[in-house]
Amino acid sequence: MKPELAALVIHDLKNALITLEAELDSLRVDPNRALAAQAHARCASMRGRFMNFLTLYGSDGELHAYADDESPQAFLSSLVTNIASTRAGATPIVTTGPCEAAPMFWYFDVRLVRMALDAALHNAMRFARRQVVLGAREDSGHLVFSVDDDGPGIGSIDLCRTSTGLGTTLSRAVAHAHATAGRSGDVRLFNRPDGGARFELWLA
Amino acid sequence: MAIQTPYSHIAALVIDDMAVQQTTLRGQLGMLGIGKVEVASNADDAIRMIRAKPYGLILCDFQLNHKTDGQQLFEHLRENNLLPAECLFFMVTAENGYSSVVSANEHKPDCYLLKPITAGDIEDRLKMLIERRQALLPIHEKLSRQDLNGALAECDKRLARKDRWTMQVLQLKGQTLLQLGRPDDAMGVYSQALDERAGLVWAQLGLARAHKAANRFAEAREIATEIIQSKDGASNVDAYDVIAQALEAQGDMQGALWALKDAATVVPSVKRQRLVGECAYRNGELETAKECLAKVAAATKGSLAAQAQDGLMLSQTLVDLGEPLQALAALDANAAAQRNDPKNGSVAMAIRAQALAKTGDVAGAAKAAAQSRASMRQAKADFATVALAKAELATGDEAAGMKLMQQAISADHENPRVRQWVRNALRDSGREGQMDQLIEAATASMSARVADAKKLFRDSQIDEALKAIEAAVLEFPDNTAVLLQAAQMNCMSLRLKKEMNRTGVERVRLYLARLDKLMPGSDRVTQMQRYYRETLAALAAATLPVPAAA
Repeated sequence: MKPELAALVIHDLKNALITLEAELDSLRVDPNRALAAQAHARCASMRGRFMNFLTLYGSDGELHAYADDESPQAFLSSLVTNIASTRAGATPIVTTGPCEAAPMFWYFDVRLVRMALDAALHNAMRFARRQVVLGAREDSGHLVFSVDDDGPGIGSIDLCRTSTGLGTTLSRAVAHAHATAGRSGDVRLFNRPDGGARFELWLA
Repeated sequence: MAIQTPYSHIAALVIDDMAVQQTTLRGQLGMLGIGKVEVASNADDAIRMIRAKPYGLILCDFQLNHKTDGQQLFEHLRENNLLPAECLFFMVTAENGYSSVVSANEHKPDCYLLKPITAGDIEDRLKMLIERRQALLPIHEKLSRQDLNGALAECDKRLARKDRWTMQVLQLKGQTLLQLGRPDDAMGVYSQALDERAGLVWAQLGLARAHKAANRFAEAREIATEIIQSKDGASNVDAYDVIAQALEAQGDMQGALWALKDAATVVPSVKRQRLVGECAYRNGELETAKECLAKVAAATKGSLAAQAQDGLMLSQTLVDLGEPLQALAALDANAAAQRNDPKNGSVAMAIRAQALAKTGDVAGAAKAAAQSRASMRQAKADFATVALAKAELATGDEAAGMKLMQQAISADHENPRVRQWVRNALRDSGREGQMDQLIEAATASMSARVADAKKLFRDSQIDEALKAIEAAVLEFPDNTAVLLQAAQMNCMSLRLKKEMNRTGVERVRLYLARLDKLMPGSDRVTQMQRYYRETLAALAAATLPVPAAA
């Protein structure tokens, strides 16, 4: 991992910690459930980013995928259920789109792919207006996970100011770890014709 | 009040030494409706509880902060058949060390959960594993009844659905075909899996095993080597084992030892050290044997993985190395383990006699040898018999020693391990030149009996031939060559007479069961089992009724 990226991530986590500290301080004075839930969600999100950071930091950029026989559809459903349980009714809503083109099974490392998609989801939820849609399909011998948002799209926001790049670096490393039989994985980020941005994780 | 969910009926066990983690996991299981949760703080308590009652789900922390870690505990449970088939075992690990926990081991638990764990994580895996079990149940039911052809039919039924479980079914089908002694058909299945997913380690391993079963040892080794050189298979000890077995089958004992040594480097478990130590001892590499067995003894001292045989083989190695005092010390250190099993006590006495003889304590040696002799059961093709034979030689009773060696060989004359032990024993006592003579003497009466039976069979005196081979089995009940011959002759007789003779069928079944115990996983036994099944099928086609159990 590049030192510049490590510094950025730590800086970002420090800022989140300051916000969390402020929220906890408010709770000390005025205990209320909504703020407690918000602080808890922030803490969980920080923990997730810490784990992503540690996964990359300890790996020298080369992740090893322990791929197992999984159901992409069940995997997405559990991702959505997990998110819904922590932010009931909040916008944007997160759902799964049509999955007819998803393969019945695929070999991938749930732990790594979850990290990559969590990071992409985290981003999409920041920019989405109403909803984020997760999808899976088989395309050219790859399993493709997608995360669509209905936000302003890429280019309208200065990414350098809003993102450390940890998520993208992690997703790339996860995609590369899933290379098999001469085919490699990939990460794609582009604007959809009908508006909003799409993130795609291509796994070989 | 507890919530009702599809998991409410599951009895769970949490194994963790940290009270906080115990409470957290119990709470998360409670959120899934699992209210019956018990807790163990260490491996010994866990084993006691698992022996006492069946659990449907076990959550075990990898770091148990004692002599035994979660993986060792799991392997102990598996190897001692303490986990019922329906019990799910989840290993809980921390981020650091996750890779080593997941990659370097021999048996895999049903899943790994990475801390911090949520109830959702547990539920996801539980749901998937229960669905899978349900989907594969018809196959497993047939397998548990040893109905291999029935299992195969169930596999095909499931494969026709082309659903979520296709790869799991292909894996089961390949294993079943190998068990059925149909390596070439198994290869077809594994190739199909590899077409679906290139580089799949279990499918490549299946191919290697199929080649080995078909006596294509070079091909088996080549594929196993490819596995070891691949990213996903680098620490696959099964692949090393295929190489070791193929080399051993080709008579390259030295090469087999190297393969086992490599495997022990990749997965430095007690079990792996033990395998290397045992193989090195047989190969006469006493320094290596000493080093490995001493490591095993040190690592398992006071732990559940301790086995009396480790200490005994270490002591024997030390005697052979000319270190009798160290051997006596090792025997004393091993005393508790020996007490649990009278057979071990008898072996320990035999080794003590050898050690004392080397120290010059003639009277003590004679006394120990006498004690060992008095408690030893019938001579067999085993370490114990050879140890007593060595004790007899060391205390000056050459006739008794040579007789025991001869009995050890005739008990199972084609067993290469016994031959190695005996050959080493003769060499150590300066009698190397007597090996061929001993083998001839040991096998003469049995070979004559088998030859007589075969001649009778050729002369169409089928019943007399069966009587003759039956007598040979009675005299050499553990001799695998005699048992294989007896099984084959009985099958041939059933085929010739085209008659479903229950006594004959039962006899073959008994021989095959004994062979399976004596040579677990042997390809020759698998081939004979296949011949037996084909015999039954041929008879069933020709005659009615078929015995229900067949």
